[in-house]
Amino acid sequence: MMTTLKPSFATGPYRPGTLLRNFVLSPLDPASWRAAGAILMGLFIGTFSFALLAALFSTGGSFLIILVGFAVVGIGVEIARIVARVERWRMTLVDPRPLRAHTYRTYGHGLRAAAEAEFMDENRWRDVIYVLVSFPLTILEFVVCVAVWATSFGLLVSTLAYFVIAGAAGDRMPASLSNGAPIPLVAVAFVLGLFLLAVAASLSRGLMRLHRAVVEGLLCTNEREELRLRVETLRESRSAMLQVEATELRRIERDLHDGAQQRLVMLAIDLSLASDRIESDPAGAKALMSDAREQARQALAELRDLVRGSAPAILLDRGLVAALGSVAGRCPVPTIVESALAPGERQPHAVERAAYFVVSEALTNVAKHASATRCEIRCRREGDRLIVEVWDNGVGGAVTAPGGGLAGLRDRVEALDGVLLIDSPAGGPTLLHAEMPAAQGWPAA
Amino acid sequence: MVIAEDSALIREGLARLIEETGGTVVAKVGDAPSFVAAVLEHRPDVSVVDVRMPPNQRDEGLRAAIEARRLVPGTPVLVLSQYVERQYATELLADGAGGVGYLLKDRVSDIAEFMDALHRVAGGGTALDPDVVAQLMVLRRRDDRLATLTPREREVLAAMAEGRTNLGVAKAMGITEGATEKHISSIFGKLELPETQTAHRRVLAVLAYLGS
Repeated sequence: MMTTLKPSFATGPYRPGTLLRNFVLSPLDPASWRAAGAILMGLFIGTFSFALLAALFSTGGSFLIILVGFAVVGIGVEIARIVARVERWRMTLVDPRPLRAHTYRTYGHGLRAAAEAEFMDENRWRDVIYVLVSFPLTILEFVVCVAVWATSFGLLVSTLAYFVIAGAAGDRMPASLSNGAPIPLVAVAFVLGLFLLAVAASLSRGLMRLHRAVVEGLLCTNEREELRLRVETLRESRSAMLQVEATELRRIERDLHDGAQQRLVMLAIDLSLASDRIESDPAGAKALMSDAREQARQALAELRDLVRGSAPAILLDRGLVAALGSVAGRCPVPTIVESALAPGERQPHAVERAAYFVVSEALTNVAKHASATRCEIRCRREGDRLIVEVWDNGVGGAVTAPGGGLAGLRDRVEALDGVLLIDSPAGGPTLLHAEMPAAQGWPAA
Repeated sequence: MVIAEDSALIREGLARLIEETGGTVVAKVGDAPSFVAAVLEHRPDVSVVDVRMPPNQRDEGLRAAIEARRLVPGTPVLVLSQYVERQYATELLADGAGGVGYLLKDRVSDIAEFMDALHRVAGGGTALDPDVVAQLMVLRRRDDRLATLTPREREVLAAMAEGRTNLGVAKAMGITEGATEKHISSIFGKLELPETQTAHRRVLAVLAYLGS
């Protein structure tokens, strides 16, 4: 099958002999007939989709002001998307090399994001433009094709009929049937019919090749475009990642400066005062030393909390679920951990850290603001997504203010190509939902 | 005794502390495998192990302590760590034998407390960090029976969970031993725990209650 199809789209060196042979034999190539069928099909698809879109867009357009119009236009855009899919398939009838659809924006969460995906997506509008462009093209293709095919069939059928009738009648053929045309003229008409048959076959394929170029240009992705998109996403997530790291470093720097560092300074002061006084005022020196010990103890505790906030030891040692159990155990609001992850299942460290950070920050918020009496941490994996949720029965009303703690969490999750959602109606309950890409079946470390 | 600690500073500091208070350090090692080997060789009265040690700087010390206690059943081990986690305490206590300690490294700075914990562990008792006990109490907060305890009784329960003897509890709280005993029997009554003889069994009962 492949070998018979090959000439229809082979781009090898064109030798005049091959070209001529291909032309002469083109009516015998099934691809030519499929091309003719595809052009016929195209007429229906082109006309029908154009009419449908024209109706939807004009109706929708006149109702835009009452918003219903947007829905109608949206339906039109989606129909164009279906047409695009059908058209990509139609092109492969003649040339089986697959066409890869361009990518569409996903709807995301919320009405606004959905509307943006529907109406601001370049590729969705390319589908619509295609429907507009393809309508006159399909008509033109059809008309040209029908003219040539029909002429060729007409000539062939009539000349063949002439020969058949002439053969049957022998010498007694009535002069009226031949229209007085001499035999050589009929033979020329027959050859012309054969020639036009080859023209029609080659022309059908040529037109489909042109149409395919239009489809490739408007409805398909190519490697360069894909790479461009990939680079764009990578650049975005890299900059988000750097931002997250920078924020984290600033936080650590600030905590060290405000906490442990100050304590160590006090400790040094207490100790030098004590050594000055140790002979003149032993009791005072002793009190200073016990102060110094207290400062040291506090500094250690603060350092421990600082590290626990971002990269606790148990997370590295025992993984996410154990670390979540530990952080739940420290939360002043009664908190339970429900994990549907396999025991010992590990994720890439960056993912575990982000998930831990989200939960740990969420629990801090719950303890500070929610006035909750119950809190639940849930984690599970859905396919290649790791899902972590924190639920509490508190007062709700949590919002993501720019620069706030929740915005920081969102940045962190998005840096890993994840999604963070917060549902916190006034009066509660609050559900924080984080989704991150996960590796399936990572072995226990 | 055997000391396993990869930081030379703290290793020497611990050794000095122990030798100044009359103990003898028979081996000072810096990684987990040599710790297990030293315990097998010296059969010390007590060992002190850091959780984080080479080669991986993760929980080798904890695993080594459990391994050493498997090879030399009941050998007393005091595990020190920069961070305490309830789960690690549970793993250490899992074999049911006494002579286990699990403390924050900071506690070493209170020499009297630290030596008391070390002696308790050497004597087959338990020394759990107050931080671990606090984590356990947090977990049990919703329990109605725990809510019936008076604040004083809760303090006594926490001190018991740390592994203190009656006398130790009394000292730590600044009350008489008789008052302590009264509190303890009241606690056991309220929590419906069976009275047991040895301090370690009592700790296990309390921990089992808190951890369940």
